[in-house]
Parts: sequence; C-alpha cells; structure tokens
Amino acid sequence: MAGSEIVVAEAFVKGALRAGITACVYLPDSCLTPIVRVFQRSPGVTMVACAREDEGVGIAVGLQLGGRHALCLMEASGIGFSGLILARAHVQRTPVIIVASHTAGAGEPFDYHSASALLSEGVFSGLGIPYEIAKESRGIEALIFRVVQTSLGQLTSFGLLIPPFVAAGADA
Amino acid sequence: MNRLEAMAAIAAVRGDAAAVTGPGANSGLLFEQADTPATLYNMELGYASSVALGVALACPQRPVMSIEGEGSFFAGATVLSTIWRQRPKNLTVIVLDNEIWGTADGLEPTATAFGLDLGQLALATGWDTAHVHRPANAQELSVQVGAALRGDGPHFIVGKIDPKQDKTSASANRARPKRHILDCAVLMRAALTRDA
Repeated sequence: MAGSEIVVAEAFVKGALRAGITACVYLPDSCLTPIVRVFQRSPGVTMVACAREDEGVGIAVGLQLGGRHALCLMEASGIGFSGLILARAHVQRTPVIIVASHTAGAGEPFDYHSASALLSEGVFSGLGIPYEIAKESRGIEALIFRVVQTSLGQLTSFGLLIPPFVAAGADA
Repeated sequence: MNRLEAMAAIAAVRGDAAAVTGPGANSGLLFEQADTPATLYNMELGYASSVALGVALACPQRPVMSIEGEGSFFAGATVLSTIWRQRPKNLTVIVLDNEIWGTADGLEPTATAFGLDLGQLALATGWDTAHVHRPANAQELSVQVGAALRGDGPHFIVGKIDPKQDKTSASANRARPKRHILDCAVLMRAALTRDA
C-alpha cells in the first residue's frame, strides 16, 4: 500500500475512534481496505467481515441496539443491496453509518463502477438519509468525526462517500 | 409439531434472552407468549438473524436468539457463514420451517418443500454437527433451545412445523405484536444498554 493511503486511513480511523466508533462491519473494497487494516490494528474495535453488505447493515443495527457504534465499510454496490434494511433502521431510529467508495463524486475512471456510482446517492436521497461526498483527503479525520457525531446525536443513518483519489491521498 | 406448540416450547425457556423475530406468525406468537422489552419484532425479511448477530456481539454476556420462518431465513442465509466465522457463544438461531410462505393465502411452498435442507446448509457453510440441531417435536425443541441459551454457541436449531396443522400461516389468521417497531427498538436498546 502507498504511504499516502495509509496516512489517510490512519487519519480516518483516528477521527472515527475519537467519535466513539467501537465496531467495523465490512466487505473488502480496493479503496477502503487501508482503513480496514488500520481498524484491525486498533485495540477494542470489533471487526466483522460479512458475506453481503445488507447482512452487514443488519449486523450494524444489532450492534447499535446493543450499545456499540459501528461503521459499515463497503463498495457502493452494497448500498443497492441494503435499501430495505437501511429503511427499517431509519424507521426505527437506529443509526447506521455507511462509508462507501465508488460514488457519483469526481474521479471514477472505470465503466464497471457506473452502476454503483448511480445508485449510491439514489438510495440515500430516496430514503431521506443525509450523506456527504468527501472532497479532499486532508480533512478526512474531522469529516468522519462530524459524520459519526451527527448520526449518533440525531439518531439518523448517514452516508459518507469517498472517491478513490481521496482514499488514496492523491490530492495531497 | 405445530407452530403454537413450538412457540410455547421456546417461550417456556426464553428467560432473559434478547430476541429478534422475522416477519409473520412467529412475531405475534412470541409477543403473546413471552414478550419482554428486549425484543425486536417483525424484522424485515432475511435480516432477523443478522441483527441478532450484531446484538450478540455487542452484548456477549446476554443470551440472544433469532426466530425466523424458513422463507425469511433462507433469503438472508449468507449470515450462516458470518455467524460461524464470528462464533458468538451467546447466539441461538431458531428456524421454524413449515415449507410454506407465511403470507397471503399461506399456500405457496418455499424452497424447503423442494428439498432444501437448512441443517445441511449450515454444515456446508462450516458449522459442526454439535451446533446444528433438528428437534423432532416440541419437547425436544424446548430442551434444545433451553440448553442453547445457556451458552457454548452459536447454535442453529431447525424445527419442522407440520403445514397441515399450521393455521397461523395465512395473514388473516395471524396474531400481531401490539407494539410499534420504533417503540420496540427504543425499549430493546434501553434494556440491553442498561445491562452494559
């Protein structure tokens, strides 16, 4: 992994832990794997590798009900699988935080990510779930801190979409 | 066994176990027979056991169970591999399998009516035989659920429900929980985090 990826991942995890995150549910993804690896090295964080992203959102709902705060890391394609369980979480005011790559943000070069990019914002906006697209790597620690703070404070799910160039620290 | 017998068998040994139930008849019957604040009813199709897994991981000292019909469980059956990967000792997954979708007129067969064996599916995803149970009747179900809730999990229990005796499958005949899902979530979180 490139050094800039690790710097971004470490900043991200630092902000998430500072905001109270104690669990990470994930499916491997090329952009977000450095963040997974840093979480795996973080003491006290429950790591759950799931088989489908919607299953992972279900697990995150359970973790939250049990008093743990989880991030769900996934490629945006998984947001498409997760519409129903995200809607249920939203209705019962159980906040789920989705962090996803391959979005409608700038810097997506590959055609095979087009469908994922199309649906990510569609699901969030369709369900009334607030979301942000990260614009630069430099502020990632503060951004994830604020996302978690808002999600837990307002009891709302929240989406954070991270384009590949931000995850890679290529803008730094 | 019929579903009423099965749920009575589970209710008798529930104790303080947190529970997540799938959509349909199981939710209303558990509400009638063994409601507690730490219960989330009518979870969406395919997700009761994944939510229960999350609860179990968050609250390792508390017994946690999911109760689903086979139609709902199979829709989210990938969670079998994830549960076995995590192996929470306090999680019990109960599937009541009547081989019929529990909606509309209650006449549409599910995959288990055509040969799907959920116990074998668990074994195929890595589970060992000591943690997969197939009670033959309500008495065995009660004994196995009671033992499972005391620990050494995860446990996967598949009880066959006789569809000819199952009057609860059709929507019109079904008992329903008399608590809104929002209230269930608030009560459940309060009950579980007070323990913590």
